[in-house]
Amino acid sequence: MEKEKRKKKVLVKERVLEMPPVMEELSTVGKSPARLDALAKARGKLQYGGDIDYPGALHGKVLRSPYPHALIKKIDTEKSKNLPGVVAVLTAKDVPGRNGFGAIIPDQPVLCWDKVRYIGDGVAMVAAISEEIAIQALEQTEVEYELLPAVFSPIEAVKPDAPKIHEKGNLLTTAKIRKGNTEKGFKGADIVLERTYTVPILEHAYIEPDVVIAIPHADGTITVKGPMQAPFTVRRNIAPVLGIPINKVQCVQTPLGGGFGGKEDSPIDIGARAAVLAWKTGRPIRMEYDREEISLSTCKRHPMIITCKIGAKKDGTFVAFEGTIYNEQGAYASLGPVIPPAGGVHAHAVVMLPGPYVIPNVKVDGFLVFTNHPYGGAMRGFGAPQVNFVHESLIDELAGLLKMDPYELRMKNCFELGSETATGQILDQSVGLKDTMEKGRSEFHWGEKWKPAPGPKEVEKENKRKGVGMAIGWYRTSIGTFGDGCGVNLHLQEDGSVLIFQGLTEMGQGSYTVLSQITAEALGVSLEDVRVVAPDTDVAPESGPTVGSRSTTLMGNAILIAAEPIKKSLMDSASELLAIPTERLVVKNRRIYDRDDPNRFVDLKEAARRCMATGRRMMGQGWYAPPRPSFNLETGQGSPYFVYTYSTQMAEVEVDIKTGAVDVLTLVATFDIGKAINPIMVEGQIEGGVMMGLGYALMEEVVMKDGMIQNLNLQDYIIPTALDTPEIKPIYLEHLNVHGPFGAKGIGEMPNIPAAPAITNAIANAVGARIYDLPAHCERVYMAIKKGLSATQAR
Amino acid sequence: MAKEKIQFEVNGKQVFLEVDPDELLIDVLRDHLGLKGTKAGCRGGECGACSIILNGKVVTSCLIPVMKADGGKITTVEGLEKDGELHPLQKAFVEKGAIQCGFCTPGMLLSAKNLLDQNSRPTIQEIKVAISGVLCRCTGYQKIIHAVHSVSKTIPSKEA
Amino acid sequence: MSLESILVWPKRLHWEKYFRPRDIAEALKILEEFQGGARLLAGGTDLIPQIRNRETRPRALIDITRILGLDEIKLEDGVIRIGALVTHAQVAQSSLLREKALALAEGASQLGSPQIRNLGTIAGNIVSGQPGADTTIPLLALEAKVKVKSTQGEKSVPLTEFFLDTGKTVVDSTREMVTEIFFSPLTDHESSVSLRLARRKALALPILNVSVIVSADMKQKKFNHVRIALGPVAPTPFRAREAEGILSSASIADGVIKEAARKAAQATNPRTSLLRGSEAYRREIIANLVERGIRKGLERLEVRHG
Repeated sequence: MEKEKRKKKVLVKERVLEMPPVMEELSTVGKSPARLDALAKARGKLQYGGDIDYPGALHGKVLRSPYPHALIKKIDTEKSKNLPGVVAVLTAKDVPGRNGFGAIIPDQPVLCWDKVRYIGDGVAMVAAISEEIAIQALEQTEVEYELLPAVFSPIEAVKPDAPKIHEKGNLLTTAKIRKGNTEKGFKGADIVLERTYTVPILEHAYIEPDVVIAIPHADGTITVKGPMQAPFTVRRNIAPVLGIPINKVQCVQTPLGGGFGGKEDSPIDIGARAAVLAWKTGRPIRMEYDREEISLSTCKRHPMIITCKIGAKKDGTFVAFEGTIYNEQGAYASLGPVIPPAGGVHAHAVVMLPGPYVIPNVKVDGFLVFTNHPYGGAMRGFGAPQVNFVHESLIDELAGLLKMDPYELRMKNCFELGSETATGQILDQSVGLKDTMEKGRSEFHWGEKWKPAPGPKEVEKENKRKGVGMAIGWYRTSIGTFGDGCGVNLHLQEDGSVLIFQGLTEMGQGSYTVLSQITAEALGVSLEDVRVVAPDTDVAPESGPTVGSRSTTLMGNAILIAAEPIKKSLMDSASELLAIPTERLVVKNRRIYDRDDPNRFVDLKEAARRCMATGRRMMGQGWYAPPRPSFNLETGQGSPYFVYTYSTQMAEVEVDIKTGAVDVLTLVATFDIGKAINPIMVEGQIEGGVMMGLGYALMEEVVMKDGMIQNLNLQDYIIPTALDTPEIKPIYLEHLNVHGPFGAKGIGEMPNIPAAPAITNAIANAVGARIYDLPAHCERVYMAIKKGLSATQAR
Repeated sequence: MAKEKIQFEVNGKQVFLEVDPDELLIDVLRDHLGLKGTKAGCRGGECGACSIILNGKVVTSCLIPVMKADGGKITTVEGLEKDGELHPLQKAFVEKGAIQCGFCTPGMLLSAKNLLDQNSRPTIQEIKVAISGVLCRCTGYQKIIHAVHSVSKTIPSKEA
Repeated sequence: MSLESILVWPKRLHWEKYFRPRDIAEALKILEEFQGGARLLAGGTDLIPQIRNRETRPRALIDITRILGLDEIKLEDGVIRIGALVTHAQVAQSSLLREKALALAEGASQLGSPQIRNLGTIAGNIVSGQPGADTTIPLLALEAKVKVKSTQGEKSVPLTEFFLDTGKTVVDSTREMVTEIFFSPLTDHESSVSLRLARRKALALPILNVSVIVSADMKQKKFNHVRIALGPVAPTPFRAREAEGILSSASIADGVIKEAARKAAQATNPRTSLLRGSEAYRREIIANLVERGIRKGLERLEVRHG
């Protein structure tokens, strides 16, 4: 049978790129087999980190600072270390190597020695034979503090007289975009709109608490096992903390009960601390953080204060955009600072602030500032949710002032193939944004549903009002650093089964299943022939962290590369068995057959056996690093990420005018994801991400007072329940990514990005009043309505 | 502290235990009986991951002293399957993509089972109410609701 | 350094003794013996978290869930009696209560989650002394009374005299126990409603609970009487007496309803809560929700009497 080789043409100015041929019929990619771990999870049999019994392990507990900023004058461990059942009480002097850890900059002390920088900072640690005795030891450890003035706002913290949190000062880093000339640009604008927005601190609220087991071995190595999104990052932190080389630390991932970016960072914290306890006591240590402890001490989503100004012509064409971001880093650097050229939350937020729009003149400045608050790390979107709320709110309000349909205003200015971004990147492939808008519009019936926002008189007489809103967004695949590669080892066994050794983690998003599907497709085996070995740094090649929506794309490519030599061996063996030249052979569905006569075939496992018998190579290694980013931090110009996923989200809400309570009725979320490797799992990511965005829009915030979190538990930090769900319609389109396996791009984070402004724009459309600060809980909405009713002009 | 002798039925089997009077049911199930399917997410009755069915009602086991359950009848997630055959709810969760990280799955399954035991033809709203006590951060609840609904249409009235 | 200041939430809880008395007398005897060192355990949805947060450190728990006869809802001699072990789920599902005290069934159905409703008791809910407790508010509107028993005897306390301050009731938890809550069922000419506002639709503490009982002659378009209870708007659960007075025997009209709602809001004293809302906001919505409650009550009467 003759297969048409389809080639897609991609326009890049005058060049035409040829895409690799796409197979007409894929066996498992593009289908939705049940995820590989579903059965174990449904039966309640899958062992998470906290389910592993380790008899004989000691219990580790951390003594935490109750003050946001204070000098440590004295720590007295005499009483505590002599309690029966206490094996060790450690302070800073007991850390064997570098007393600092961090995902980017190791500025967070394993145990503080001179001062504490936020409530929850680690001051001492205990290993005891039971949790109760460990707690008693914490109680008996006496610490003398001298309080220092604290600072809780990034704007205050950059002032010259602000209390210094770190030696080098409170301004951790800056980032910028400079394009064209915004001063001239604004002069040429017919309308200019400037607004300031705030977004709060958010908690990941993964349901599985952080836990770790650290086991020191007699040969001078150590195993650290637990839920973690980035075993290699954990390893490269623990090694220097213990003062041993990296090859003596083994980090093993247990299945995660959710991560969302939080477990990129928290396992470094809990892992380093448990490792030090294990090292000093020579005993295995089990450490688990309670829910409140997780809230108190682990990383958060960065809160930001963002001022933005946009200038447009009266026909809606954008001419200039300016933005200033005060990005509150909190007490330690975590994942905030820039990892050249475009990695780190801060750089990413700055790059994303102008939105997916063509704007000739852009000026953005971002300041990443330390405060005595819990610190910002990675949380799904990595800076994008914050800035997307801002630009989509601003542009929506602009549409109102221009008396334009917000859909039309966006359509007029947003990216398409060949567009130039605010950093001067030409989007030369896989830009499905406008298609997601058109598709969303038709599924949502935007044309029938959208009406301009009401005036106060209309709002006043009603009890409840409905409204619709939309938002669009873009999100990178990959992390934008120079070191963004990942590796995999594939091993075909002689019975046709396959082992994958790689280091990207399964946190529920389905990476194991998707990577297995890609492997099965690449090698011609069935999905059930493939087994992913749990990420273990002793066994897997460096893979980078499971973040940045990079797993499917980057590791998928690595797998395709690794499969090649294996396939060649299989073809060579099959060719011998069938006496058919390899060019005519197809490997598919556990068979190797003649393309022109599928009835002439040999079972794949026979070919595998022959490979083994004839000494043919049955393993392959793949290393894939995406096209190098070229972002210049000085000029704020370049190509920070090699491809983007796009999304349009449209929401319908009903607002209770008398209370401000908001009901989200429907939300249509459309994505250009390149290729859906497993469609049902893509839908699952979309639905879950949209709900996280709904939480951001309507109810989530970590409430601070004098440096102390007021809502530590899950009663007070509220995330959406099943009763808060709208009808969600997930739609994906496939504008194939030249650099992706089967054309795929990332999906993990995109869904939770435009969801929040789609909802807040719908609220504005319903009640004629805007929310500039998240979350738009009932009080904010009510007060905005009230303000809108009493004032007649926008502020 | 003197131990207390208690007994209850867990997943159809009588269990005899010696416990400290201040132990919680969740820890006895997990640590004494090795039934790790019941998860501890918050220990405050807020996340529902520790949900079990006790005497016919779905409850959060982190709030229940084990002594209170003495003489009772308990179903945990491990008790849903019979002789290696999955409960229809488990099958539906697997098939409909209702599981992502899986940490809330036991709580969801037992909440759904308790619903179907009392109401074999729930509306979507009733399903949402029934699972509203279990927090899920991954799925957005959609496929869980869909899975429960798909099962409710197939089981004969009295059986779930 | 005290446990409170070291920011630790222990996994293992501690008490020395766990009692399971067979009857009320035995429970009260043990309670008194411990002289404040023991706490009664029913649902545990308040007590267990309080022990974990170290708000209370009882040496003994007295589990009253084995005591027979305390888990019934009955209509006896024209009085509805609810036992101390009756759960929120029972109340929410009771056809007697849905017919004769809908506001209570509604209130009980809206709190927490199915798990919490299966465990928690309404007796425990009112004894918590929280001014906005979801069953306290409708019970206040229903003018319920509470039977409180000790080794010295028994007394009936009207709910209006039951609450002393936030978290504090007349029940001396070192010697006394609530055994029953009772009230007169609503008549055919009375409708009731419970409204709840919270930041999400399950597992959330209330920003405001409002319960309204409306008695009106729909043909004559005249109110007979209205009872309005709300919380948390003050240290204790609140009856809006002045508002009720305005509506008593008044003609049903927008103006008087709005006036009553305004008066209700004025008389309250809500505080600013970092997690649930500012005083200014709460005052505003009190008026709105009281008005909504009255209207809903009228609507229900309308439906019943067509």
